[in-house]
Amino acid sequence: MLRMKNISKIYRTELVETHALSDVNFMVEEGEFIAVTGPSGSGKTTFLNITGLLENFEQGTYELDGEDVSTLDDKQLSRLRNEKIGFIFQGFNLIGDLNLYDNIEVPLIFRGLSAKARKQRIEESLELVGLGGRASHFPAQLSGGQQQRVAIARALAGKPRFLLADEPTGNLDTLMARQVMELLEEINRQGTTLLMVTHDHELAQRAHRNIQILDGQLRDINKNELVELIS
Amino acid sequence: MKDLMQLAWRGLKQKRKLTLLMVLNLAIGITLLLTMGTIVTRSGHSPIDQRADRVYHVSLNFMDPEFDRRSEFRSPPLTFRDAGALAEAFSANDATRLSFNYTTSFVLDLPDNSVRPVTAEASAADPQYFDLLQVPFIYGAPWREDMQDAAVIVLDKKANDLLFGGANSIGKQVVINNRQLEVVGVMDMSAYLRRFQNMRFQARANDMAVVPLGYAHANNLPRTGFMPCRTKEEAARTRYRREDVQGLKSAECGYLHAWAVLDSVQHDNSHAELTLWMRNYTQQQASQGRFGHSEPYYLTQLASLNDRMSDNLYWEQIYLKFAYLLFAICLINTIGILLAKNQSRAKLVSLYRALGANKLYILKVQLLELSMLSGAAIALGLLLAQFGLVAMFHLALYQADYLADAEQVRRMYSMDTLFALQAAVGIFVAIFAAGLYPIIKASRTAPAAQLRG
Repeated sequence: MLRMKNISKIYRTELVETHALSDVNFMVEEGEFIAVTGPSGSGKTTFLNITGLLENFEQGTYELDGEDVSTLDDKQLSRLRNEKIGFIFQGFNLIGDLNLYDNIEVPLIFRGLSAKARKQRIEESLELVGLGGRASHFPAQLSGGQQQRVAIARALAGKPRFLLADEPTGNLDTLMARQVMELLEEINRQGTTLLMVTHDHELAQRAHRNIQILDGQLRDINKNELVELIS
Repeated sequence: MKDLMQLAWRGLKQKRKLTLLMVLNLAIGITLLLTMGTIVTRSGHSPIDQRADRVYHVSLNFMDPEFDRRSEFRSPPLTFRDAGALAEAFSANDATRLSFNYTTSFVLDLPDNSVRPVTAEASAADPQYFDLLQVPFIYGAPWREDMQDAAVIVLDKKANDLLFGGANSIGKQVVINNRQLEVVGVMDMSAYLRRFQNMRFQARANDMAVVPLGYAHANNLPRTGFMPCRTKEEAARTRYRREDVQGLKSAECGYLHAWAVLDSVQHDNSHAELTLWMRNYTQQQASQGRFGHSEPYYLTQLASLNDRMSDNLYWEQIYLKFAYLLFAICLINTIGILLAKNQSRAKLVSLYRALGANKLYILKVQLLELSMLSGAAIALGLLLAQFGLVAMFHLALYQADYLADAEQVRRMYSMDTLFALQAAVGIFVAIFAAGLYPIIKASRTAPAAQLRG
């Protein structure tokens, strides 16, 4: 469902050129759970942003569900992001002024769903993360783990095929981190493809595949070799 | 659209203090602009604006050569005999319709003394006076041409309200100086904010009644308006105001204001004809020792007087310029506050982008948000401008003399709906234009950088 070939990303300033990603080749099958690890500054977040269509790349080709994303304009990219990708952030990125219902509703509004359809999806996703009945609560009234579950509910409400999680347990204590991970694994078991960036090697071990980014290059830890197209 | 509105409303609620600051900032600028703009606009406005370019004040300058007119508003009124000559010359000319009036005042009462007597600012005029003003009549009509000496009167709505409780008073009697006059018409002068008919352009009062010129002369109704006399007759001026109307008729004292309404089709010809007559008349009279002034006549367009009146509002014009300046500052402030608000919301915009909103969608939401904010600021500005106008009204009333008609002054300081609508649209466009830069900048926020951590 996802295929990257020779992707490169360079950050340029007046004085320096930084190669964040170099000739990355990567492929993801439907239903996989992939963990991406690597030291700080290795290019993990850049890789995740490019995968999530939040950043452009200089070279290479990237196909998502058979569509070459480099040929799409902003409107088409946004539509693709909205329909096929769900984001989970380390800092949750919930909107503090809105209650849980309204927070989860935001991406559904962008999709243009009717109010009735939105309501159904919001209630379903809140039930799924164990927060049914708390739709009118505000993020500040919840614990960190619960907030992350709301963020997961927001990502799931759009029924994405691909879930991108950037350090989803980074701001949580051990107990809550375990609960969130169990939830993510359950979601993956139900068929949603999961790509998770993490520092935590123990969490990474729970993934089907473990990819390490080092100096802008991807390495399959299990095989200890540079990642090539995996089919 | 509903979803866009919902998101825009949520955007307004985020960073509420900044939103409130923006609305207040704009509302203050709008208040001052609308308050001063309304006053200046209403000052230069008259119900006969649409034909003010073909209405002329006719003045023959019989005064001494050293007479200093000071301004167009001090053009000498006509003497009795000059007015007669002018009327006779154009009596058969349909393209130049003349009207004569003088300012008077009297106490209006009822024969049975059943109401409190009313001190009335009034005019003595011919029936063409109503055609000149095009004033609407609530009841009745002007007196006929052949009733110039008749004991009849046209009341303004305000006088009719005070004397007859607003009822139809046609055929009823009023008393002036112990003489009864029959009411033949009730007019509504409420739209005439300035009394231009006697060249004073006062905003404090207008005619409460109009009586026939012939009747006013015959019954010696006082001449209370501007009445310049040649130096040799200056000593008799006070006498001419109150008595000795026979002496006044042959005196070199001007008290009759003449207005000419020129035909729209033959305007240029009529203007040339009138000018020619004035030149010939003053030259012919010069042989009798009159019109020795270097400017023997003046023909002044009402439109130019209206313009000059607006220009003469010295302090109001300064305040208006100040209001424009303040509004410009408010707009710049708005740009600053919008930039600050958008900077603090960069993470939110990035989140919207990550969740699937495209740049155009973000732009639409923010433009709608700005529209709602502008609408709120304009509504608040309009409301506050009402208070501003009330404050200015009280200030004007405080400065006015005891004869001022509070209702008349209030009209000058009341909101002009058409002006308010035009100003609101203009202000909306200005705010929108000013807000574009911060909004476009916000829609271009790179999402990735804002969502880390």
